[in-house]
Amino acid sequence: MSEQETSAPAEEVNIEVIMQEIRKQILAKKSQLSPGGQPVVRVEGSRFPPEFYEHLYQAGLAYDQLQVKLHVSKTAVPIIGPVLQWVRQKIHELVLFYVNKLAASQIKVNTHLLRALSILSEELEAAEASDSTQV
Amino acid sequence: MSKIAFVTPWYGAAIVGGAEMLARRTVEQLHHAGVDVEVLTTGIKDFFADWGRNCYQPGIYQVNGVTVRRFPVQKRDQKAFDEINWRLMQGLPITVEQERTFIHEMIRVPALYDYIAQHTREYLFVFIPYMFATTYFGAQICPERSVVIPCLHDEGYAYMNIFREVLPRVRALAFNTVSESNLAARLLGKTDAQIRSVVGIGVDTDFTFDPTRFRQKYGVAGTFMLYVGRREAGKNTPLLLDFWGRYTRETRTDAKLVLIGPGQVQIPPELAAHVIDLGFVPIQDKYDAYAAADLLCQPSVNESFSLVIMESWLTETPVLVHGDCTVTRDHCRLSNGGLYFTNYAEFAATLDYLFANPAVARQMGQNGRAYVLANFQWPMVLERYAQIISSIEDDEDEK
Repeated sequence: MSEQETSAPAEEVNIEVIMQEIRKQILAKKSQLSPGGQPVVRVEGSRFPPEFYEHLYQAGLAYDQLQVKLHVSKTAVPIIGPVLQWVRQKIHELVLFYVNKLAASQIKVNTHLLRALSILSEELEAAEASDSTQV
Repeated sequence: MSKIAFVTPWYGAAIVGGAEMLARRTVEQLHHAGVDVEVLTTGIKDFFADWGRNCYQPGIYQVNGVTVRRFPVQKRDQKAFDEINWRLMQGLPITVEQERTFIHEMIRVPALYDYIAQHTREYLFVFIPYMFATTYFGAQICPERSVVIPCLHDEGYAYMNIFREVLPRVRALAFNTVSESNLAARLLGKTDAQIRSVVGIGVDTDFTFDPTRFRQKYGVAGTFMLYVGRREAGKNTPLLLDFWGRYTRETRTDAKLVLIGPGQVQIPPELAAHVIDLGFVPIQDKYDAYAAADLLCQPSVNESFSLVIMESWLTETPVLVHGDCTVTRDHCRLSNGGLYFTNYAEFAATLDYLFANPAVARQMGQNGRAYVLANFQWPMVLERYAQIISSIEDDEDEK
C-alpha cells in the first residue's frame, strides 16, 4: 500500500472506455451544432494515460469558447447619462469587433492544433495495434 | 511501544464526517487493538461551534472508552480570522503577515501546547488535519516524535507558507490515498528524510443492509440517486441540485434524488417533486439507503478519502463523482466502480448510461466492493500505523 492501492479485478467493466464513449457522444453533439459538423478531437484510445484523453476532451469543449459578449455597466450620471451610455457602448462595440476578430483567428489555430494532435494520437494508436498484432 | 496521543482541534462521540470522524474512528480502533492511545484536544464542541468558546470544561474525559484530555481555548480575533479565511476560500492571495494572523487567530489553546512540551518523551504525537492551529503549533514542539495525518486537498490553505514550512519537518506524514501522497510530493517536494506512507482509512466492512426495508420505511419507490453527507457549498450540494434540476426538466424522468445528512438545504419549489430530503437518519437506515439506491453521487471536489463512497461500494452500489476531485476520480479509476463528470453534459450522459445499463452498473458496484475489501479493512490500516510507529522508535533506538 505504500506505493499504490491495489486495483480490483475488473475485466468486464472499464470505466475509462465508458467515459471515452460518453465524451465522444458529447463532442459529436457539439459538432452537430457547429458549421463544420465534424468533431475536432478524438478522445478514444488506450495507448496514453487517461489524463491525455481528458485534456484532449476538455480542449475539445473549450477550443471555440472565445467570443466575447458585449457587457456595458449602466451609468448613474443624471441628465447626460444616456448619452454617456451610448458613447461607452459604441466604444465597447469597437473594441469587441477587433477582439473577436482575434478570437476567430485563435479558434482556427486551436482547431488545427487539436486536429493535428488527434491525428498524431490516432497514428500512434494504430502503430501500437499493428505492433501487438505482429507480436 | 510509546503511548500515542492524537491531537485534534475538537473531539466527540457525536461528531460526524471529515477528518474529525477519521480521528475518532482510528483512535477507537487502535484502542480496541490494545494500543495505549489518548486524545489531546480543546474545549470546542465541533467545527460549527464558536472556536473562541469552551463548550467542554478543561479536564479528563472518557469517550467510548478512550481518555480525552481537553484544554481551554482563549478568546480570539474572529473578525480578523474571518476576513483572511474569506480571501483564502475565494482563492485570493494573502501576505505573510496575514498568514501569521490567520493561524494565531484561528484557535488559541496555549495550555495544550504546554502539555505537549512537558510530555514529549511520554507520547508519540499524531496531529490531524494539517490546516488547524493545533497541528501547526503542536507539531513544532517535538517534530521528531510527531506524525501528521494531513488530509491534504488541492486548495488555498495547502499553498500557505506556514504549512509548507511545518509539514516537511515532522517525522512522518500518513496519507489517506495515493492521490494525496502525490499532491504532497508536488507541494512539499520529495524527501527521503521523512517517513511518508499511504496508510488509508479503515472502513467498517461488516455492516448489514436491507434495501427493501429502506424503501418501505421511507416510502421511496422506483429509481433514485443518493447523496449522503453535509449539505453545504463546500460539498458542492448546490451544484448537484442545479444539475439534477436541469436533468429532470430535460429528461422528464421519474427518478428521485434522495438526500441524507446534516445541514440546511434550499430545494427550489419546482424541484420538490424530484428530491426527497431525509435529513439525518439512523446509521442502519443509511446503510439500507446505499443498498436501495441505483447509484450514489459524490459531487464534492474537496475529498481526501470519501467514506461514503466506500460504504456505497460495500453494498455493491456504483458511484458518480466529480471529475475535478483527484481522490474520488482515482478511486473510480482504480476500482472501475463508478463514473465521473466535470460539467452538466457529462452529468446527464453518465446518469443516462447508469440508468440504462443496470447490469454494468451492478458490476461497477461489485468492483467497488472488491476494491474496498482489498485495501481498506481496519486490520490492514492498523498494521500500516504500527509500521510507522515502529520505524520512528527504531530510529530513536539507533540514535
